[in-house]
Amino acid sequence: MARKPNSSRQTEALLAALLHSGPGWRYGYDLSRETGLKSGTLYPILMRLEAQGWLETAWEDALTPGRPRRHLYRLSAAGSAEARALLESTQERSGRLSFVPREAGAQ
Amino acid sequence: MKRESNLGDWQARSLRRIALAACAPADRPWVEALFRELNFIEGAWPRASWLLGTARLVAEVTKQRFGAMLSLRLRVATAVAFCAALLSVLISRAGYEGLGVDDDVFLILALVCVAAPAARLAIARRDHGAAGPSSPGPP
Repeated sequence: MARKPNSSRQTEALLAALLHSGPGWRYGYDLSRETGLKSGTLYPILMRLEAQGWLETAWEDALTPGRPRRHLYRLSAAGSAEARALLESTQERSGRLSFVPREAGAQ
Repeated sequence: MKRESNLGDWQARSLRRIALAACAPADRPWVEALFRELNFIEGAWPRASWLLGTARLVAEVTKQRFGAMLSLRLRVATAVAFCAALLSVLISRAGYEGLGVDDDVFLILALVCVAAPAARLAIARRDHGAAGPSSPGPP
């Protein structure tokens, strides 16, 4: 049986972190610290998610002169829906994740 | 302490140049993004760990880039070499040596085995280089 895309533990952890932050942009290093993923694991996943249309990327606006602009990440609308469905199905199947973030703004 | 910091910066700059040179244009924003995060990571070990990840990312993207080219190249070369060798054996078996074709086939085989992968690689590199970046480039 073919494995579902983006269903590895690492990808699910990243999707959960991105879902948790809602529509806000995230830095790569922050995502690495939150998920515990090393950069060499994190960035290939980010690249894949972007290629699939799940992830939006942008370069930070210049805030402080001399401070390098950073790359930002957040889930696209389609990516949020897909990620939420994926994490919910995973949770139902195995109870691996302790939570699935709700829609942004809904408490 | 200052010296260590400078050495780290120098290493990071060198690694960045090598990494960017090794990657396809479409992957460079990702490598650049990864290196820029280094400016915001405190501590020698976290920075070293982050840099190690850079090597893995570069290995991943270059494997995809050159792996595809190499497999195609090898497939074409193997097919051509097999056909040439078969032809050579048939000519040899037939005892046909007019115009020295028997020897020439081996020579042609060697030339094709070199030229076909080289041409294939050049075409693949040109096609790959024509692809645009997947996200806006770094400022």
